[in-house]
Amino acid sequence: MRFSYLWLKELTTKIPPPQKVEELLTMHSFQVEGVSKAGKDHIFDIDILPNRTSDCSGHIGVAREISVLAGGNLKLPKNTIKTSKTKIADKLSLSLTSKATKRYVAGMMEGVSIKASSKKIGDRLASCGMRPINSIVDATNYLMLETGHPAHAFDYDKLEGHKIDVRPAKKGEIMETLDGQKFTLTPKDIVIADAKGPIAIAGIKGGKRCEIDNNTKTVVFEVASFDRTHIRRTSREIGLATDASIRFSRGIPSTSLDTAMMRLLALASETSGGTAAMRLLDEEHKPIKHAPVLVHLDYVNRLLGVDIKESESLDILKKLGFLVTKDRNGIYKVTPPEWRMDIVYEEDVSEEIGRVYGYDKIKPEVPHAPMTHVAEDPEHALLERIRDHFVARGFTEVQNYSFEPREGLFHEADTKGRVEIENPISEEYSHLRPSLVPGLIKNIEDNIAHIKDPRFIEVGKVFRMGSKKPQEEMHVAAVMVGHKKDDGMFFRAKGVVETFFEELGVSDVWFDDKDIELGWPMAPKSMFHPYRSAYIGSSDARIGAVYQVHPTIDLDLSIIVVELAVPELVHVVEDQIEFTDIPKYPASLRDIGILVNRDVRVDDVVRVIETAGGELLVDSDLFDYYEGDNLGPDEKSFAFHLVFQSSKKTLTDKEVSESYSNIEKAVLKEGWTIRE
Amino acid sequence: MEGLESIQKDAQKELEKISNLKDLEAFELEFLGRKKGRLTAVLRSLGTLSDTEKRKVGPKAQILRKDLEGAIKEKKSSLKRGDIDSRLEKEKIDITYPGLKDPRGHLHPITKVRREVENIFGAMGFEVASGPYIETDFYNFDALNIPEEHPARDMWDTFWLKGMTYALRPHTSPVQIHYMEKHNPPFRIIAPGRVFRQEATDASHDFDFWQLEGLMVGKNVSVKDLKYVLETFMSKFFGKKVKLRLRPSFFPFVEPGFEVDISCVACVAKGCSVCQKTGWLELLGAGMVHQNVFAAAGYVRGEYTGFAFGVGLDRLALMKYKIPDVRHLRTSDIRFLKQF
Repeated sequence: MRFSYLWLKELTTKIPPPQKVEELLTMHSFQVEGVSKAGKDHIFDIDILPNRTSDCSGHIGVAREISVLAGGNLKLPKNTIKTSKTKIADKLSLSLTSKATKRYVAGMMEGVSIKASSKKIGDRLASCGMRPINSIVDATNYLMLETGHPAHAFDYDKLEGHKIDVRPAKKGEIMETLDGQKFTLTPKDIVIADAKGPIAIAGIKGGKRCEIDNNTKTVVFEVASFDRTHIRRTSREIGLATDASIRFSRGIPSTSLDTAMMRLLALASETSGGTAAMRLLDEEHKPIKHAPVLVHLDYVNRLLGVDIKESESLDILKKLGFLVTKDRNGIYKVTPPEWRMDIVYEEDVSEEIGRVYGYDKIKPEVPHAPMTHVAEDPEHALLERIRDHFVARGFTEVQNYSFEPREGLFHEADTKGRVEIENPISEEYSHLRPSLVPGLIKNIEDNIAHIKDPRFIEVGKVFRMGSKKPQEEMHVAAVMVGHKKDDGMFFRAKGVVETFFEELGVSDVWFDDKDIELGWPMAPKSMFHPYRSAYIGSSDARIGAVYQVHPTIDLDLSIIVVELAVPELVHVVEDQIEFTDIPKYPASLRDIGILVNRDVRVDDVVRVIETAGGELLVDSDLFDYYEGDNLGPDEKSFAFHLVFQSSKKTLTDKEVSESYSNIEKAVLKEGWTIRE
Repeated sequence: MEGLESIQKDAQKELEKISNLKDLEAFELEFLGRKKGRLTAVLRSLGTLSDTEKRKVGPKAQILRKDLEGAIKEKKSSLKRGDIDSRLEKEKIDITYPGLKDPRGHLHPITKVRREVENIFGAMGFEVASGPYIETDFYNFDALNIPEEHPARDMWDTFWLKGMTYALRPHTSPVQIHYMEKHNPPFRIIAPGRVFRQEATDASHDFDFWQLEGLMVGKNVSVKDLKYVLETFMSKFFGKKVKLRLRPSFFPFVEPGFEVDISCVACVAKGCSVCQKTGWLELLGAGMVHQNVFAAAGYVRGEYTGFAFGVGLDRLALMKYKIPDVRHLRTSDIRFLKQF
C-alpha cells in the first residue's frame, strides 16, 4: 500500500525525515519496500502485514505508528459538517438480515454538486495509486486512504423503494458492477440491495444501477464491517479483488464506523458542497467487546530474552493505545484499542513490547538447553549411502519435478491410479509422478548429446491413489545406457547393485526373473525388456529390479534401469560384517571349460560345481563366457577358475584332483560336455 | 707359472676398458674361470711349490683373488645401474598427457548444501526430521494456527489434489506438528524437504522446491537463542562472520514473528548489487512458536516456549554457488550438474 509523507506529516506532531521514517517503520512495524519522490512529496510503498491491515491500512494508522516510534502525538483532522433539518429515517430505511455483517452505517447528503475534486485531493489519490473520478467518489476513496475504512456512495434517486437491504444474495442473483462486469451470486455472498435487487456486492464492488453521475443530487453513503471470511470467500469465488475487498478480507474494526461516517460527510460537504441529513442509520449485529489480555511482564522478558524495565514496557503499551491495569497478583490486564483486532494473546502483547523496544537490542546468547538424544532416521541414512555408492560409480544425481503430464511413457493400461492436481500450473505438470523412471529416461535423452556414458540416479518420492487416500513413497532409480545389441551394460548395472549390497553387509541377495511383475512403486512390467529383466530378492522380500527398458519405449538407445524399493531395503540392511581368518595355507587353482545348451544358466552350473566340489572348493569364478562361431547354434560355453583350499593344511595334488574329478563327474552327469 | 704381477697388471688394464656385462663375464672367465682362469691356474699350482715358496706366493695370490672378485662385483653393479638408466630413459612419458579418469558422478548441489546444513545443525544438537508431502488441511493450516477461511491462508498458493481434501504441503512447517505429536520437549530439530506452491516460476521462484524448517522447544527458549543459533549457522555456512537483523513480520504459527536479514555475504554489509546497496539480505522467516500451535500438537498451553524458522534451501544453494536461476536446480543438464 502506498502512503504520502506529506499526508502523514499532517497527521502527527512529530515526524522525522523520510529516510528515517523508512528505517523506523521497517525495523519496528512493517517493511517499507520502496520510497519514491513525487514533487515535494515522498511516497512510501509499505507491505502492511495481514494482521496489521485492520489498523494500518490508512494514513492515520501509519501516522499513529510513527508517533509512537518518534515520540510525537497523533493529530486528527477536524470535521465541519453543515446539517439540514431532513431526518434520514424519513427518507431511507435500512434493514440488516445478513448475519455476516457486523455493522452497517448509512449517512445521507442532499444538494451536492458533482464536479472534479480539488487539486489537493486529486493529487493525494493519484500518489496513492487511485484514479480521481468525481468529487463524491473521491471523497469515499479519500476516507479509505485516510482511515482505512472502505466507503461507498449510492445515488439516492436511483434507489428503488428508497430502502437498503443488507442481505444474503439469492441463488443465481445477477449483479452488474460499475465497470459493467456481471456476476452470478449465491446465498453465501452478501449483497446491498434496494427494492429491485442488488446494488452492490458487499465489501467488494458497487453496482452500475445506483452509480453517482453528473446529475446526482442526493447521495447515500455506506461504511460497514463484514465478517472477513465471507468477503474473502466471495472475492475468491467471483475472482474479483478490490482495494475494499482486500481490507475487508483482513478485518475492519466496527467500533469506529460512526466516526468514519462523520468524517466522510465532512469530506463530501467540502468537496461537493451538500448538507448532511440529520442522524445516521446504524444497524449492528455483534458489538465487539475487547477482552483484556492477561500479561506477565516477566514472561514477556523471558520469551524475548531481554530485561525490559516494567515502566518501559507499560509506557510502550500506553503509547500504542492499550489500556493497562494491574490486578492484585501483579498481573497486568491489557485491553487493546478498538483498532487493534490482532491482539488476542499474551504473545501478541509481547510482540508489541518487543518490536517498539527494538529487536536489535536482543543479544544472541549460547542457549542453555539440556543435552538431548539426536536420533538418526535409518531411511535417511540409507538414502545417503545409496547416493554415495552410485555417485562413486559414475552416476550423477538429478532432482526432477514431482509432476508430470497425464500421458507419460507408460502404457495407457498402466496409467490408472495417478494422482491428479486440481489446480495444476500447466498440462505438463498436471499429475504427480508415479515413477522416477520416465523422468530419468528423458534425462538420458536430453544429455546423450553432451556425454558419452550418461548415468543418472534420483532419490525421490513417487505417488499414486490408494483406496482411501493418496499414497507417497520414497524410491530410488538409476539409469545407464548401452549401445544397441550390447548386453554388457545389464551386468555392469547388476555389478553396481551387487557391490552395493556387499558394502551394506547384506549377503542374502539374489536375482531372478520369474514372475517379474513387481507392482508399484516399481515401474510396470510393460517397461521391462521381456528377456533382460531381473528382480532383486532378499529373504522373503523383493527389494528392487535391474532391467533393460522395453525397446518399444525407446528405440534409439538401450537403457538399463536399477530400481530400489526403499522401505523394503531398510529392513534388509544388517551391516553384519564379521572377520574371517585369512587363509594360512596356499590355494590350488584348476580351470574347467563346460559346454552346455543355451537354456542352461550360469547359476545352474555353479550350483552343480559347488555341490560336487565339497568343502575343499572355496570359490568358483566364471572367467569366460562364449557363444558363437565355433559352437552350435544352441550351445554356449563357460570357463571357471576353481579354487581349492583348506584352512587346516596345504592340499596335496591328489586331494585336489579327487575333488576336481568329482566335479567333472557331476558335470557329465548333467549331460554337459567338458571342453579340453 | 705366470707371475702374479703380470696378472694383476693385465687385469687392471682390461677391467678399465670393459663397458658391458658380456665383456665382464669374459673377463671373469679369463682370470677366475674354474678351468682356464689365469689366477685359478696360479692358485691350483700352489701345491707344487716348496713350503717357502708357498708361504711367499700363497697369501699374495689369495689377496689378488679377493681384490679381483671385489672389483668384478663392483664393476657389475655399476654396469647394471647404467644399463637400467638407459632402459628407463626409453620409458620416458609425456606427463602432460591427460589423466585417465574413472567415471565420476556428482551429488546434486541441493544434496551437498543439505548435508552441510545437517552437519552444522547436527553439531548444535539438532535432529533431522521429516514428514509427508501430501497433507490434510489440519497439518498444512489448522494446527499451525491458520483456521479455515483465515486471510493468512492466502499467503500460501497451495496445490490441491483433485476430488480430495488433500493438498501438497506448501511449507515444511507441518513437520513441526508431526514431530511434536510424537515427542516431548526439550528437543531441537531441522526438517529439510520439498514443498510445493502454485505460482508462476521465475529466476527466484519455482513451484517444486526445497525448504528447511527448524524448531527448538524447551522450558525457556527465547529470541536470544534463536539469534544465536541462526547467526552461528549462517556464519558457518557462508564461512565468514555473519550478522543477523530481526524485523517484525507476520506468520500465524509464530508470535512474535520475524523477517530475518543477514549481513550481505557478497560485500560484507558494505552495499553491493547482491543486496541492492542495503548491506542486508532478506533470507528467512522465523519467530517464537505460537501457543495455539503447541496446543494443536497436544502440549499444555504455556508450558513450553520455542522458536521456529523456515529458509529456502534452494536460496542457500543459489547463494553458495552463485547460481543465477533457481530453475537450474531442476534440470538434468550434465553441463550444470557436473560442476558440483
